[in-house]
Amino acid sequence: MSTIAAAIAIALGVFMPAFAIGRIGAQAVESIARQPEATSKIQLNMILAAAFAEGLGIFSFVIAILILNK
Amino acid sequence: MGVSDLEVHLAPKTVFEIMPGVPVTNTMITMWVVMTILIGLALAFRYTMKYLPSGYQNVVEWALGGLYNFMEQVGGKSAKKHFPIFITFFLTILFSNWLGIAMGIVAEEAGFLRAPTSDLNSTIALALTAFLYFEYQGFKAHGVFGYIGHFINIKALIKNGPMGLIDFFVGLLHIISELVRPTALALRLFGNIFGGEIVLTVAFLLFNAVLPLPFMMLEVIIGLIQAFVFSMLFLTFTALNSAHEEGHEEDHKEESVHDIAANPAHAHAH
Repeated sequence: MSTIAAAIAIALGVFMPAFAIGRIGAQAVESIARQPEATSKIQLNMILAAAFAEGLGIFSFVIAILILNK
Repeated sequence: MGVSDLEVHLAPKTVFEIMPGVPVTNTMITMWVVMTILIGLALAFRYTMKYLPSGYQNVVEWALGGLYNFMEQVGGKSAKKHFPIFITFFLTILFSNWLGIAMGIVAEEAGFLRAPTSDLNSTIALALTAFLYFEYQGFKAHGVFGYIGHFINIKALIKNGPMGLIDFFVGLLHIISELVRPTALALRLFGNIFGGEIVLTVAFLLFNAVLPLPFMMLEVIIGLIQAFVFSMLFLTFTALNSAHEEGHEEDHKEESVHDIAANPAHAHAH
């Protein structure tokens, strides 16, 4: 039972951050294509924003591990 | 041993105990290895320093110079002041992550060596250190009462009357966002590295030799990015906390992304 719970937790928890990171990456590439001279600045902010989005996925990963270890 | 036998342990294994109740875990030992390497490299740099750099000195100067330039884009003028602690965080986390990839997997089943950052204890310690530092910078920049007044905004209540209530509640939300910062820092680093180690272990259990290599490559990149993210977020929070009100307008453009992502309330406050 707890295996299924962990599987659901990680699947649902990774779902939205994946969208978020995809969108961050897509927008960043688009703006780099539009303004190649601002590449380094965009890249920096992209990595930070992606880190925030990814952190949410990581929360659900930790929760899944905690459920498994119970 | 197959994949089905794999057991995931959050807690690091105790190798020996100094005295009852004071264990030395495998992640502590790898942390000492990291410290030894870093201090050794720093001392080697210090005592072979020459006016005309060559070899090793060139590499170190190139790496530090590149990082400093990168950091200046985020930290602005305050970059120079915070560079030592920034680079300490970066190098410690980078070496920890990579050390875990280099030797943790081989000995995973023996449970002897593991990346220090794959232990929640050490990432919480790192995040708390960062937290104390950027709170200290906040107190230093705004004064004790000025900084506390940022969170418990009685000044707005007195000045604006009932309308000041909004500012007051925004201030209370700031407390939450301030406390979320170290939590997110610790969990993000831990989750990434711990997850990476599990992925690598599973890859090694499933395939024999060549196929885990792409995963290892991925983990090397993730280790670098996470070290970078931790230290950059640390710097961003430090710059946010130590920003004076008058200098805030120029900073705001650069901060807007982190602001909105980290705490939606913040964007309204200024």
